[in-house]
Amino acid sequence: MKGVQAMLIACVTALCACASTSNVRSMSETQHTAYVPSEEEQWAIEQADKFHAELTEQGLLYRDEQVTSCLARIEGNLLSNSEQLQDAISLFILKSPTPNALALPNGRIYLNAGLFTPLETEIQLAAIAAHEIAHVIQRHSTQAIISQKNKLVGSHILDFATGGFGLVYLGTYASIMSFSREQELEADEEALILLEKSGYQKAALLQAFQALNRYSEFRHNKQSLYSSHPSFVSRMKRLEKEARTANATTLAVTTREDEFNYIKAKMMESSLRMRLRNKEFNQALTIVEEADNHFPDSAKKDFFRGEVYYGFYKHPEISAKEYYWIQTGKYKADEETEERFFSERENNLSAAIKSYKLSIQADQAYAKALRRLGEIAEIQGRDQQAVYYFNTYLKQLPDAKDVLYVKRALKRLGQQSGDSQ
Amino acid sequence: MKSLHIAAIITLLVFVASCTTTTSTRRHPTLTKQLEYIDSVVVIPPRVEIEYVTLTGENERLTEQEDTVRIHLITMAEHRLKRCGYDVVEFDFEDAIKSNEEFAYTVTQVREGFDQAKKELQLGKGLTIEEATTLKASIGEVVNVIAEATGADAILLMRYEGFEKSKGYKSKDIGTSILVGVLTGIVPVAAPTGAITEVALIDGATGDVLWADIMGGALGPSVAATAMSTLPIDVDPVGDANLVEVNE
Repeated sequence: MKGVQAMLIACVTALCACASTSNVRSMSETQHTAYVPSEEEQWAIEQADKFHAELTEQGLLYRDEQVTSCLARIEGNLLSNSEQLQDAISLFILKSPTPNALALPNGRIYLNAGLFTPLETEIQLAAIAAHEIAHVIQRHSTQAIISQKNKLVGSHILDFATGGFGLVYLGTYASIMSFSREQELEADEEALILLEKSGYQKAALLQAFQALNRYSEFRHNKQSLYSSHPSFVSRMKRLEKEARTANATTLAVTTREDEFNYIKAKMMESSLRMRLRNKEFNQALTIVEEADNHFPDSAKKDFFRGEVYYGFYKHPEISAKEYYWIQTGKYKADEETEERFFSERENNLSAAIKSYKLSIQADQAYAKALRRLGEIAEIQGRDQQAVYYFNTYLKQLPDAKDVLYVKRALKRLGQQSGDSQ
Repeated sequence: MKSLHIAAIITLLVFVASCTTTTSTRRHPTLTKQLEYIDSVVVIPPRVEIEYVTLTGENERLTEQEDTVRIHLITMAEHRLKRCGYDVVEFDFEDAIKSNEEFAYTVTQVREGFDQAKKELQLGKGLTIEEATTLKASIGEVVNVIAEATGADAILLMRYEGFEKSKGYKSKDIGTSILVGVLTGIVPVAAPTGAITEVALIDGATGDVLWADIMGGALGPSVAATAMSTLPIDVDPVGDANLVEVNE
């Protein structure tokens, strides 16, 4: 029986190889001709349009004035030499904390909010955008979607050969669509050309990659730029070589670093909130630490530091798992790491209380910390203190989004909201 | 990636079929106490995804079928909630989501929060009743925004995923069955359709998941009715009601 299966698998593998070719041509090849996309390409574009509609419906795109202005400036700078590209490409910022970017076959490029934590300048952001634009120009995204479809055909057949229980299937679908090493190198080269033509310094791409590379915890993230780009370090080496040989050029485009920093602060806070909501407290801590270097708003920073430690206290198992995964790429924490997070629970609670108190000291009006102190007091059985914190919070922020939570807590503690101590 | 869900549905169907001494239901450890605060519930429009699975990989969403199932799920959930003693709050989510991106994002956050909570609750894994009533999870204060906007004490969250295989796919299944039958003497039967439903009752003030269940079966709304059948009945504020299940 094994022999029959082996023969079948061999046949199927050959079939899969036949099915994996594609005739998608790059935009640079077709820019002077009336290009008619194939049915497959049209299908890929339709999928991308649907994806965009879903993101919009879920409110996952940032649309405020500063974000729109910054993206329009980068688009204007990078695409000023080509009307075709101006029509074909649009940049968006996606509410995702992972430092990554995504280019789709319909020309829509999504820069994740998480990119703003490591990136330091608008020029670096433009360099990442240039790299993604290059993927669109080369129609890599279209090829990736079509090749994945072809892979699926293969896996259906292989599934058949191995018994049809879906195991091969699962493996195929589980692999995240990513670009090949060659496609990444091609996109880097195209990005350098694009940057130079539009008046940016070519070194911006290397600087952006170096900024991203500082974040070791992202290395095992399957959704991050690192893992989807396996040759990241070798690509950086190539860019270093390029930077050494390139002529020193001055920046010939308009940038607004004040606007970039405003957006960076906003996106870092947004990413931080997302990390906390996802219970990714170690990665949230990285953002808080990065904020130490960039933003002097200590009340907010201390509050979020408190949130991280409170998270470590409340969810030691999840925190240990995340920590171990960051360090090793493995999904199950070893006993030592788990024990450490459990044994440090009380210390983490003390650290959280200290941070919340610092936050209030730095800014009396930063009342968010009061709610948490109330919550902690209730956990510790200090009911009167809990009531005091909750009531003070309600007085200071009567329209807070979590008023219902606080009122319920007061009810639990046998108090009506607004009762004095 | 959507088709990964199909594989997950199949896996879950196998799990559900094999569950005999375990439960798929999750109840908050202090459910009775918590239900004293809950009188009214609002149903968030369910996420419904039904895919037509083809051998070429060019799968299609069956949007008309999705709309029909969505309407049916809401009607069925509201009926069930009323039967269990809750007031159902009417709220036009579609309009609120379309007119307010921030609100749309809040709904997304609630759904994502539940995805996270599911892991903590091990939803989809068969647990003993004792284990299933000791786990707890919260999706946090983000739910307050919806409770505030709708005036409901709790929200009901639902997700439905299903698939229907193409003719070619079904033929492949038959071929597989014959091949496996010849080679092993056992003929496996692959389902031509399948669906799973997740349902959860979430406290609008604390964000605690009060109750959750997951069920698998053939494509169609009946799978959701089964999942809803374990919804706990409302507990009045004096706390004299027992937690019993209403059988229909």
